[in-house]
Amino acid sequence: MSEPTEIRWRPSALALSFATSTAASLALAVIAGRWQLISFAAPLLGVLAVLQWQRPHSRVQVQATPPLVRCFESEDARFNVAVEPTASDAVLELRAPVAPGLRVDLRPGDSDRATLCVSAQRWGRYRVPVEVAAVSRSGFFIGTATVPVGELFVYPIADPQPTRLPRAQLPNRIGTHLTRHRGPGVEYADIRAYVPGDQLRTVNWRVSARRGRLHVTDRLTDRAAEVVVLIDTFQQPLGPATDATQRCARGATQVVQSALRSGDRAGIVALGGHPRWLGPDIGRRQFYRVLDTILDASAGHPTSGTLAPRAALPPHAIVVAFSTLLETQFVLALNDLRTRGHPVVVVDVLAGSPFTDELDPIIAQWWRLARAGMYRDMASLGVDVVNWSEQISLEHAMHLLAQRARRR
Amino acid sequence: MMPPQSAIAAASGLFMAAAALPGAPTLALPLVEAAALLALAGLRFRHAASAAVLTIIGALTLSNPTALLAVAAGIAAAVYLLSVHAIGQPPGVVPLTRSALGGTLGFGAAALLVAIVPGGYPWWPVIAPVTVVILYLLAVRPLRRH
Repeated sequence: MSEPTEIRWRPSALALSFATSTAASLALAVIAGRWQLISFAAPLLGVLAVLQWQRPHSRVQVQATPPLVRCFESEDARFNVAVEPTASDAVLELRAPVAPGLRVDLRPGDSDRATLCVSAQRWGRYRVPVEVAAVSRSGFFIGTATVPVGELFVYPIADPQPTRLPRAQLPNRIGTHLTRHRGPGVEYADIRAYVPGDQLRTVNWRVSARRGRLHVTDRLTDRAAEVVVLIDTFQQPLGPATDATQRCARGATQVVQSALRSGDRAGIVALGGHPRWLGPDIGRRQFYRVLDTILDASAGHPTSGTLAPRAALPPHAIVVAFSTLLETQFVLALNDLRTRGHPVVVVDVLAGSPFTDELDPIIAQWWRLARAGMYRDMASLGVDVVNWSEQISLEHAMHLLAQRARRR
Repeated sequence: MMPPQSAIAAASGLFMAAAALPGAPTLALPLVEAAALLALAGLRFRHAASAAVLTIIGALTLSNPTALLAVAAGIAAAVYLLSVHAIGQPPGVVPLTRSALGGTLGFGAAALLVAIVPGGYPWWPVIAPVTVVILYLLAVRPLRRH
């Protein structure tokens, strides 16, 4: 049961018609000098006088099951809502609320029960309200109250395509990324003479028979990566920059999803307004923990300052950052990670200029030049910048990065 | 078959018009007829109910009814408004309660008593408007938002 919520009571149409009739009658009685109209108004006044003892004092309590629903964008979440007055002087009715960003559909059940079908088009944390319309038992007062009933966590949906990771030194853990290291694996690397300690099953019997000495086959090993996604939650200027930030979460989800699918460990660090982090881990559960951290709900450890905490990033973890690159603090955090030895890639989600109105061509050109200069400066520090515009998908943007690294 | 609230509403609405009829001069007759029609229309459209009561007030202003008929019309108007607004309410909402009826009849009887008691004082016209305004403000005090 929620805390009792006050109802804003106001006179109903019945009360207003009594008040206007009485007022008209008394006014005409005084103006036209007709004492009979006072006699006419007296019974109406009697009803109004009795109202002093019929004022409702009821408050409203709403219970929703479940109190918290997690779903993906455009999925339907259901809340079973039951409403109850704290006193018996009011009759309550549930109505669909108007909530920004939410589409709420109310399916009435029994008298004081209903099912709320809620869906949201954009990821985020939502408070789901319900509107309660109240009528006092006497019919002279009506009221409304908007009561929060539950919470809705809407997770971003990301493209299912896997994203490329930049080439980096991978920790010695078996995974799915082919490396040049020799060890257990599938891909052929070399044949060399047997040394004590080699497993017998690696002995290449044909070569050994031809050479008359034991030889073994070396294989390339597959290793797992550690990916930490950094998202920029700093306050952005209004306009295209604010719109672009919602793609930060979408891109982060795609990177984490593709890393976890290929058996890598993935974690997240959110820097900005309310900095928080979640260490890398494997598995499907970690995916939902990362999503909860993106939404700043329950999971994740809070931190302070503008730099990524050391505990969040194991040595040589690959850092993929999503940002509009308008906030200097965030860029400094990236440089700090680079100096700590992490391979860092930044996905610039702000493709054009951050201004809403059309720019003078020369200013637009200046803006592009300034951005290109910043990209170059960051690249010279070792921070790769990928431009991700809305028209292309993230895996294509990241593919360019892999090609660039090969050419270098 | 008419539901009981509608039957009470129709009966009290017509009674209200009938009570205004005896004292009405020729000039007020169309008003009384219009009020009767509006009272019946009020069963479907609530705004017509308020209009019916206001029309009756207009008719009473033009005519010169006895105190008994004026009080009877007032009681009928109160019952009419209470029962018209009971139509279409969610179950459990009952405007026509015993206390509301008691208030109507009590105030009606008091008004009748004041009107019947003979004798008038010359200073009545001075205090009457002020008393009326104060009475009205006291009566609508419970209606303020809370």
